[in-house]
Amino acid sequence: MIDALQQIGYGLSLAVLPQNLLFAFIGSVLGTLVGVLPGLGPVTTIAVLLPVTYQVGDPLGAIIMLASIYYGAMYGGSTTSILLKVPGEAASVITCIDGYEMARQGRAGPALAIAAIGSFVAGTLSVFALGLVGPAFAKVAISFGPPEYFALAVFGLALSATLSGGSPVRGICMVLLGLLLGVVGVDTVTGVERFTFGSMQVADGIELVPMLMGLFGLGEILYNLEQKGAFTLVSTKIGRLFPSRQDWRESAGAIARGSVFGFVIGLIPGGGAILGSLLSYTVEKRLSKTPEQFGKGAIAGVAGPESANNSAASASFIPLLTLGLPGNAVTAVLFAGLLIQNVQPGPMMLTKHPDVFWGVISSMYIGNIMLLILNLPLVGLWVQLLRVPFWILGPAVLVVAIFGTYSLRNNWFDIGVLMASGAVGYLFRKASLDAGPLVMAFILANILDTSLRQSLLMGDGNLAIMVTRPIAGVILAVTAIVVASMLFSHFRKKSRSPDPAEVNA
Amino acid sequence: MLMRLLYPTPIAILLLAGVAIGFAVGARQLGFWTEDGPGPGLLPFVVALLLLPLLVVALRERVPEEEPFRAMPLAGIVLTCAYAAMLPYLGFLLPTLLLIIAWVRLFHRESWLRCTLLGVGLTAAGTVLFDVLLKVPMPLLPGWL
Repeated sequence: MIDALQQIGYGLSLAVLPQNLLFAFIGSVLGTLVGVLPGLGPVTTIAVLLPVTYQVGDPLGAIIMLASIYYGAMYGGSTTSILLKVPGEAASVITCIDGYEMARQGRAGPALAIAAIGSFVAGTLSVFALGLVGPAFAKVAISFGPPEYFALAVFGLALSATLSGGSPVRGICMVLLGLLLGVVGVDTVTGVERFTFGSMQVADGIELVPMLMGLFGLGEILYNLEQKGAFTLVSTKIGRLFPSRQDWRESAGAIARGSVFGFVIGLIPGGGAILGSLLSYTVEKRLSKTPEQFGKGAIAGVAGPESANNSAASASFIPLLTLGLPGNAVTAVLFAGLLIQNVQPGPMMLTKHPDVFWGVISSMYIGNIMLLILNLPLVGLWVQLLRVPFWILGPAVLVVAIFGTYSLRNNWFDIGVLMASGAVGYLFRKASLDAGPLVMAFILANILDTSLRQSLLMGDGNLAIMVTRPIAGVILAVTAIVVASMLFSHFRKKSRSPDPAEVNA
Repeated sequence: MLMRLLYPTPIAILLLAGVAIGFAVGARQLGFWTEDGPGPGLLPFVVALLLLPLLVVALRERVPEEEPFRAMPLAGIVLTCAYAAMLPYLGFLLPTLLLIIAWVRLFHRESWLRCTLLGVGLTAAGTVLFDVLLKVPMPLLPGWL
């Protein structure tokens, strides 16, 4: 406990260095700025801004900036959920329900404020929890051998594929595609080139950042071309910002519970924010004395899920930083950001880059404070951004994505990857195929491949080693149960109710 | 029936199936097992084989509200690809300007004045941000100039 506090103190001492504060500030502003633009969710925001952080030079500064962009984008995302009913990402779908209702009733101010305050409280609590849990995770992770790593990677992928809200079959398809694309390049075990067609451009694999910017940035813009005029801004009048005493009473418990649920769920690779906010919403509705208010503008329905969302997001840094396993699309993008800075997330990170590890955790806290200061008084200003018409927005993102892609490696081939991924991103979006699990699998492909082969070697070619080692066996068994139950309920729901809305959901 | 094939899901699944088959064939050539143990083709082959039957299930899943492709995004894809092909020869400035003017004119039906202003503004902004502020040497002009 003392140790963790000391380490957080050490991290804070790094995070408050003037240059790092500046990076946190720039990141928060940029993140909010882009995140609040309609149609651009956190994943798109971070992906598009990745090249900007690359130019920072110093790894800690760059990652602090990334983390603040992340927080800013999340906050911006909740603003569009509340005012436009446009969820920036799956996790804020829940916020849309009651947040948008509140905005329609002229209570946009309290909704935005409670979302920010809930996020702040959840963020604060989870940063300290991170400091406690992180080293413990890393300690356990060091003892993991290839079979355990294989099992964990499979577990994370299976969860992200089946729990993302869409069809689990499609989710699994996306994971498998990501695994295939991820093994392109020189095989780390034998040195053989795989699926490169002799091209030097992909010898190190398909470049991740242009792919991300294409799938989530360009693809999104193309998709939005056909959704013109779909946004209906309730009002740019925010009204009274500060929640009333009754609002506080209704939200306090929801924020506390949301923070805890979110954190616990966020620790599970593949669990992620959507489950956290969904769970929080369900619990708050159950506990509420006026459950009928939910869906009609209950402030607890904004406070709980937004807190859960935020603490899950912070907690998902643990599997990312200590296991090297990104748990969702956002952490997958952050993973790319870390790699660009030559920081390899994983059990060794805490020993190899303790400054980065603790600096990031502490700067998330600073980012939270900054966003609270930046957002509450300035919310009126941000709201004006919702009025930026799409004919300016789309091309602007396009230019940043194109120039940014080129700036990373000064390479024309990457621009081609960007364009191709954009086309594919649009296609997948149309076909209800979620690119999130694809990206996770793409990143995990080599870990999965190497650990599978090493495990097979350890077991003399026998797969039984996966189940005879207790930890790996348990993880794989849980994976099998989760996947089987998700598939079962998916197909049962479909055969029972041919209701189109439900099949689509 | 034929038109149904041109919907997003069948097209996406066809694309995925092509990728899966390609990887399966390539993986076979890479070898599943070497004298040192499991080979580089093992995982891709297994994954491709798992993917194919799942694609059939995904194809049969009904997505009743699935909408057909629209012309604008498809035209957008053509435009961005043409742009990417021009870049290495013409540098960033001219193609970017043209792309934005064409994009805003075609997809948003704004006036020529607005198109041009936005084109000049964004091209300048991108150049200032990356070339000047972030100091990335961008090939702005055609190589032969």
